[in-house]
Amino acid sequence: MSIVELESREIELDAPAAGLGHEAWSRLRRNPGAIAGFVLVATFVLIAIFAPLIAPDDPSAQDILAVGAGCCPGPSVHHWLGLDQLGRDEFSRILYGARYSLMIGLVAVSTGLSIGIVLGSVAGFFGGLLDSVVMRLMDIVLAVPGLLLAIGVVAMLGPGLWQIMVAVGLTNVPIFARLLRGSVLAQREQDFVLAARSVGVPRRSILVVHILPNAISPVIVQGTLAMATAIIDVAGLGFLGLGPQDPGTPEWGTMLTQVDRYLQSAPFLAIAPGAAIVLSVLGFNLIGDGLREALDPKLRGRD
Amino acid sequence: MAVTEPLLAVDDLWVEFWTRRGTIHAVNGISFTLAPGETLGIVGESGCGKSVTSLALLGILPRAGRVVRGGATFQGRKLIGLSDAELRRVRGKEIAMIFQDPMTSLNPVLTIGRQIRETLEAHFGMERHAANARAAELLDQVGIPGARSRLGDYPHQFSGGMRQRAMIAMALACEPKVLIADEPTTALDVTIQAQILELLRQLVAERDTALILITHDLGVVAGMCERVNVMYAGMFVETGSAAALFARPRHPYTVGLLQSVPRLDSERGRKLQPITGAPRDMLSAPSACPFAPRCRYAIDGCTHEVPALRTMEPDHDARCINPVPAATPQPAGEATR
Amino acid sequence: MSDPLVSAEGLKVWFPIKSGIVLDRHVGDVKAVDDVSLLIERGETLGLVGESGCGKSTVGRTIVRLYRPTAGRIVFDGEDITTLGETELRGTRRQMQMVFQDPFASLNPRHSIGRIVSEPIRVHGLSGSRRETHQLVRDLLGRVGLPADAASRYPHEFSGGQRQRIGLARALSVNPAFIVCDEPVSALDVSIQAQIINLLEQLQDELALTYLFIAHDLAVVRHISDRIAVMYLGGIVEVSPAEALYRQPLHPYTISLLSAVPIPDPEVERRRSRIFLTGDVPSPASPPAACRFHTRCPYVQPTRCREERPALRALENGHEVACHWAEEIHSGAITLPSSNGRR
Repeated sequence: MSIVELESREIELDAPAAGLGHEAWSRLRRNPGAIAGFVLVATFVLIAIFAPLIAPDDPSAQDILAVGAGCCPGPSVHHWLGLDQLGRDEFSRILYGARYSLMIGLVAVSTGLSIGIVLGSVAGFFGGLLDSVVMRLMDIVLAVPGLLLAIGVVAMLGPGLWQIMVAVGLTNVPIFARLLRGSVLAQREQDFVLAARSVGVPRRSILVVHILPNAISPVIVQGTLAMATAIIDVAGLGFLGLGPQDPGTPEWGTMLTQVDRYLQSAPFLAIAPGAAIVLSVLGFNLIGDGLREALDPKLRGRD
Repeated sequence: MAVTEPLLAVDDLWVEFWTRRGTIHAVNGISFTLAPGETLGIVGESGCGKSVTSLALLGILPRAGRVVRGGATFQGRKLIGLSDAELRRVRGKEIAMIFQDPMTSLNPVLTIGRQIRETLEAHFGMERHAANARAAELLDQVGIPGARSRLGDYPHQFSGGMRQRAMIAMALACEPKVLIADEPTTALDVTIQAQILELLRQLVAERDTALILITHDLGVVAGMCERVNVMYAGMFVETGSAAALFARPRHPYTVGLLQSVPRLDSERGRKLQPITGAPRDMLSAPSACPFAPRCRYAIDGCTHEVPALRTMEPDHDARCINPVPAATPQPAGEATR
Repeated sequence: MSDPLVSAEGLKVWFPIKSGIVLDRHVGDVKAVDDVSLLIERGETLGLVGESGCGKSTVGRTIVRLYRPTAGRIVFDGEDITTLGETELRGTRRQMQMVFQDPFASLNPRHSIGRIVSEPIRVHGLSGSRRETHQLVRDLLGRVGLPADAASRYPHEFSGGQRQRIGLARALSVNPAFIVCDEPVSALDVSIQAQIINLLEQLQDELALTYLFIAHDLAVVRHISDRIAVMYLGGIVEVSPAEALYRQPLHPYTISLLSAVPIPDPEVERRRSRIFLTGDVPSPASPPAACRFHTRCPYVQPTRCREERPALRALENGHEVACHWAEEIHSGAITLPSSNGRR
């Protein structure tokens, strides 16, 4: 046997103590990148949830007098990140911005995931003409660069918050569809699926009960990475002015658009939302990578 | 046979693997010698440590493995514990190895010719043209038709049997004194297996190469090897000449193996006698006979300490304090008609 | 007189080879099974043996309709099941079950043992209350030699041999009449193989099962089967009662196959005469014309072998062979050329 097989055969014991999920979890726990990512994402989520309790000020409350003289008062004891061009507390706006990013990310990814899973599993399981048609459709959608596609959708639907969520969600559909199709194809030929067929399990059940639970791991990984890109995409669309039209919305991308005139005098107004975007995206990427490693079946049994 | 210095001598070798779940004691004190031109079979089931032994000899244990005790000498010189540079001179040139799955043991992105040339260039300093010619010659000797033209082919263009022949060609390219074959035919169909084994037999006889054949198949060992060592739980439980061992197996494990395998030439209708239980887990070094829990002949003393190898008859030892009596009927072949 | 449980007639299973850049064109077929006919009597074990690529697994899977045959007929218990749809087949599926080769891949890693073993019961609507199903699962596990608490555990907690037992329990859960065993012991250690083989034999006695036992290990097949069919490159070359196969092989391929099987006895090995086939097995996508074995046959004759594909014909006492010259080879009128069959 090859040395790799020897390693995993001779080292692995008869009855590993824990389950598959356990093993993945313990590997995840020992991955420093994944832990860092988890900390970042957890912070992000907690901030998003508890923003009203944490934020010192109302993000819409304006202190016009303070910026009357010119922009903008920098970080101070009362306002940790200073005030923005309309006198609003930047720190609070960043905290509230997390809510928008989280919500948008979740909605966009869930949309993409649910549609993508259905299309991908149907294409992979049934094959034939259905498979070809669905996949060619996905190819067409993928041929258009993500951001352009999102812009196109927004152009059709008009600008606004839920419109960009839908747009970003749709750009994710072909990615998930392709991924799941590949995974389903691989699982379809496994012996335990054949066994289920030979027993007489109806096809519907085979797909849902046998194949999908085993095919889902790459999708989980992709899901976390998709959150990361969704945040960037939404920020990008917001930056282009296609996002929430209410200028008061503390969405990070929109915040970036509004401060281009003040970059020289008040750079922290751009750095703050920029850094928030970077850190949250980094967090999701790190978790995604960690999950990918933890769930990789080839690494099972090795140390 | 004249008394010659053994080519390879392994002395009380112990190999461990460190894993998250504990230390695996893969090899627990094996010793054997190999004379020039001799064929030795090491037979045992998966997990018994037979493959690990050969990897330890060549210094190619996986990262987590190490030799913790004992050593080996080759032509009188120390073998285990050599530096990487010194080992590289030994590997391929003096001791060569072929593996079970030629698909993963051959580099899929290099042509066969290139891989053979590599060995020749590394060990003999041959230049390209001469190495090519020699490689073609070798492929021819292992029975690959159209050898010259196949030098430029990639491993995936060969069938399983052909790939194994190419591996043998590579291994014998530098005329090693010892060839270690680790389950060389397990992945092959039985008729191809017969071809490959016959090829091996011829080649090692022609070149007087010593052969260590590692396998789980008792039939293969019976046909190929002069001497046999049966391995269980990291130690040899029975050793000796093939003739004596197969005719009068004494260790209960060997007897169990022979009785649990259906034989093509035996009476039908005889029930198989499986060995009950499962192999021992290797997380601890054995403190008693490792086979005792599964042994039908176990007596009280078996759980006290690991038995030493005792002589049963000339050139036949068994590690057992209550061996199977020599006269026990074995599943012999039917009388020829 | 004969009322076979399973009958396959002229079975062909061809897998299309498609090639092309945009549109897949049908450029050929892999003739995995090319005209196979066999009968399996109630209560018997028919062994199907051959090397890799001969189509034996495909035959087994086609008989239980996991594949749809390209041509031919399959009759199970008097009913023609060749073209039945999935819904119509479900009833018959109760009667025919399958055990697979790879103990690690044939059980869904995410399902508990109880769920795996009870699935056939649930699918066929045979389950009563949950308690009844649990009891049934416990009984089945006991019958195959596994402890009752195995039901709540997961496949990765068991060894290869134990997983095969679980696969068997699953197959038995609906009281089938017929089980196709597709290389059930090939992936197991030698000492575990014997346990499973004995279990299979014991279950056959207890439950009056009929087996199609597919394997490449001739010694194992000979041990467990009543009759044996030898396959080569998609076709059956010989069918014989197991007793007779070793003593009187008739087809040149069977003779070569038998001579290649190692026997754990150095004396016997030394004295055997062996036949070494040359070269590799041809690809089933382009099998040789006429007799499929003629390119490697040590007994090949100048006439008929290259012109006409031999049909499987019956000789005396239940022995069938697909060779033009079977009688002459057996009687010694045709012998091996002196360059082959040494040792």
